[in-house]
Amino acid sequence: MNAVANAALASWALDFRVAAPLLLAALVYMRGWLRVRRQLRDPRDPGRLACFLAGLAVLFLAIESPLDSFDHFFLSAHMTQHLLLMMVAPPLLLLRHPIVPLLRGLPKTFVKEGLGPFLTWPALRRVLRALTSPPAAFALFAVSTIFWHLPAFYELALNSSALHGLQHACFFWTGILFWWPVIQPGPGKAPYPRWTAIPLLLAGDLVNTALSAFFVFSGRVLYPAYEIVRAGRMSAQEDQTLAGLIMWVPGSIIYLIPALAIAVRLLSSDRLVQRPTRVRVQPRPIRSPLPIVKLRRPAQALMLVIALAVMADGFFGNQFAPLNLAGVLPWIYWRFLSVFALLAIGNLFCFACPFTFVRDIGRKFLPARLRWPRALRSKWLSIALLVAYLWAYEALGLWDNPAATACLIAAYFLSALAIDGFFRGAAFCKYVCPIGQFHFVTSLVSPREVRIKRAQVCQSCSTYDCIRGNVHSRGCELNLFQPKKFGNLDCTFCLDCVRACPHSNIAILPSPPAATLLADPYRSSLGRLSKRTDVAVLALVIIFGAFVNASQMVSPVISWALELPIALAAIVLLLCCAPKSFSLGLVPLGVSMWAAHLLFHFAGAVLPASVFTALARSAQILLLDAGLLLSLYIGWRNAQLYSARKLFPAWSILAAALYTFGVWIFFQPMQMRGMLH
Amino acid sequence: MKLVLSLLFAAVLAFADGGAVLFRQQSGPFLVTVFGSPQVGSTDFSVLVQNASDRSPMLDAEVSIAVAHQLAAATHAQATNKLLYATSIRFFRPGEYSLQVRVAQMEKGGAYIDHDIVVSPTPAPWLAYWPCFALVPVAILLFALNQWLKSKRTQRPPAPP
Ligand code: SF4
Ligand code: SF4
Repeated sequence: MNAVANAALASWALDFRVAAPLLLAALVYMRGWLRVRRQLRDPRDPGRLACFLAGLAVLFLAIESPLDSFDHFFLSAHMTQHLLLMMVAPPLLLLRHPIVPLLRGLPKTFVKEGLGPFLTWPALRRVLRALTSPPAAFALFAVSTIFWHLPAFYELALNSSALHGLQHACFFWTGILFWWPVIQPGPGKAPYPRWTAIPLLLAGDLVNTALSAFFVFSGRVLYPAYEIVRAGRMSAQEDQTLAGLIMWVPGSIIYLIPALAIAVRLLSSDRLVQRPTRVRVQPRPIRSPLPIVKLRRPAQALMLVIALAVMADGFFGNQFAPLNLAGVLPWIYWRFLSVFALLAIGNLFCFACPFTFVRDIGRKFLPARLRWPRALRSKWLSIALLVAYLWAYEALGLWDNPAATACLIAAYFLSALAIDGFFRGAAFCKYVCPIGQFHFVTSLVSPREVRIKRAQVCQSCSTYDCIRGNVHSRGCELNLFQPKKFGNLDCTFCLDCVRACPHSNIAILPSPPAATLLADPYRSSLGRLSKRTDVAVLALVIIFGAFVNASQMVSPVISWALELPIALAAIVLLLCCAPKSFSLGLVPLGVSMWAAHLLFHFAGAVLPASVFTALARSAQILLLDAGLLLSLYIGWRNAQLYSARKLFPAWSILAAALYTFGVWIFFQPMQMRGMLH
Repeated sequence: MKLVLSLLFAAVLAFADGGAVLFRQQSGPFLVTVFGSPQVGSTDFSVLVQNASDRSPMLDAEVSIAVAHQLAAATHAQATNKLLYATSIRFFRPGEYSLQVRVAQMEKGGAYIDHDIVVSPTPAPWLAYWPCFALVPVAILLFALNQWLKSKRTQRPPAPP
């Protein structure tokens, strides 16, 4: 192969903004397909999956392959791209009834509560029915095809990436409309007879043939842009003829073969359609404890080794933070990874906590019999420690001081050992550890929680080993009784309860992020959150801490003297004027601010500068968007729950102000702490 | 780690190749086309070098761009379209600049092109992220519509038996 061909084949765009939605669509479809397959008698329907994935692959090929890189140089490449967008990807995506697997692949609640009202909205259904009727679908398809190939508009699109994107979107979506009445992907009975697909396909072919013939026989170059920029020996006229032939021959085949197949099918006598038979889904048997249970000790041991290495380097290594493990690992990598693990799975840091590992070893020699003082059984002590930690991070420059970081880690080990070595249960985790409190609150937006699989099993249980423990495992040291546990607050993901339950009735199960903030039931060991001022203050410290912490790293730096009184006033105002649950409603926004801020430092450390600039800010804004939307939703539901509708506008203004402040911070030049550049 | 991530994101690293054609000029045996949309901030430039006699693309040249007191080597590695040579230049002020392209190739020798370009001011930085910001009002509107539809559904009288 010559060098030009090699270079052409290597010209893939691979833009994550295109790849990510396609990948997401593939994952959703595969999830739904697996679910549907379980319900149907025929357990294998690989054709269905293959069609949809092939459709996505063609779409990817059209937008990201060398075809896209060369569409400014060769009309033939551009026409091949259009052919894939209009005539290949849409039918592949619509074949074999994709809507059911797509809907089944999405979270049930989202489909029922979010999409349901739209799917059953008569006006929308009427519009969709009108758009997918053969005359309308054909008209839109033909107009879009002809309009965008008029030289003036074609050249406009060629010179503007936004218009070029719009052009491709028009081709793809009118392609979907055109192929809809041909394929009739359902669900439900199609409102027009099958034969209507034949004239529709023939009319589509007519438009395509006319356009192709115009390219081939016009005798002049239709798009002067291809005359100015030529990247090969082929003349613009020859290229145009080739483009016309590509559209004409493969294009006609794509229209005529389905028309023929439908005609043959209509004329044949055997038109019985075998419908797949539904079978009753057997309830899934309760599985034995999760394999992840076995991973806890190795994960803790690994974290212990890392913590020891960080301490050793912090005490004895180079004290220049970017070159010291204690300056980099805890502040850039660990903080980011633990928050993203919380958002993706759950409280994985507490799961692998090295402090409790050492504590467990120490307990073999220490008595651990005392009861934690009643006066300290709240979050106040840990709130004070958390505030001290946030203050020390900034005021003492912990991130820039490896020896101080190592001291902090050593103090952590000693405190965990001292407190849990003498007091019963997990007093350190529950009442003292500020990192734990941060993770508990953040895990309120985790997509998974440790909970029971079936309530009936617990109703017939007489041992309650999940809290009392047994010979296999201790019970929950955080005093969370599984049948009454609601949400992730105070749960360290230690999985002791999973090990202890004799009925294997506990698992890490999916739960919509922040769903547990939409109600205020009695929670085991916590009571009702609306009555817990300490929990509300803890959440507010974490929420406002996110903004104060990030703003200290931007220039112009806002002084503590200004920020702290504002943050404190907002906290006091919230606590006095609104039910406590309103404060917790801001947790998603606070968590998204932490995540976006930590992402900035992590991405700055691991990504090359040009990639980092392109990705970081968009990702940060999207994270804040998600946090704001979730917070607004929770606030709105709380306003209904507590009949406090009048409070909602003021509360949402506060949320919007925090969001705006967060965005403002991200548009300022931020210090790249702990890094060489 | 950095290497793996660099490879993973190599595609995003590659420049967007082009923008509009800035100018096209013949110099010696080379026909040089420069693409770009110069504005304040980081701007990507792509260069197509062709053999002036038969217009075949030349892939083994050395290309550099000098503008605004900066000199940058343009390479295939930085381009999505591997027929082009791409690089990035940072402009600090809008206005007219003189852009020089130097091309050198073993057999054909070298060429030098000088051309004036206009660097436009950048739009407000947040404008570049409007799709990210638009997400919030769009989601709120959809949610409002969703709630309206739900309330309409509950108000609808039950169907007659
Ligand atoms: S031990 Fe298992 S079955 Fe019994 S109450 Fe606890 S979770 Fe339920
Ligand atoms: S409920 Fe208790 S025992 Fe179970 S994982 Fe959470 S903290 Fe551990």
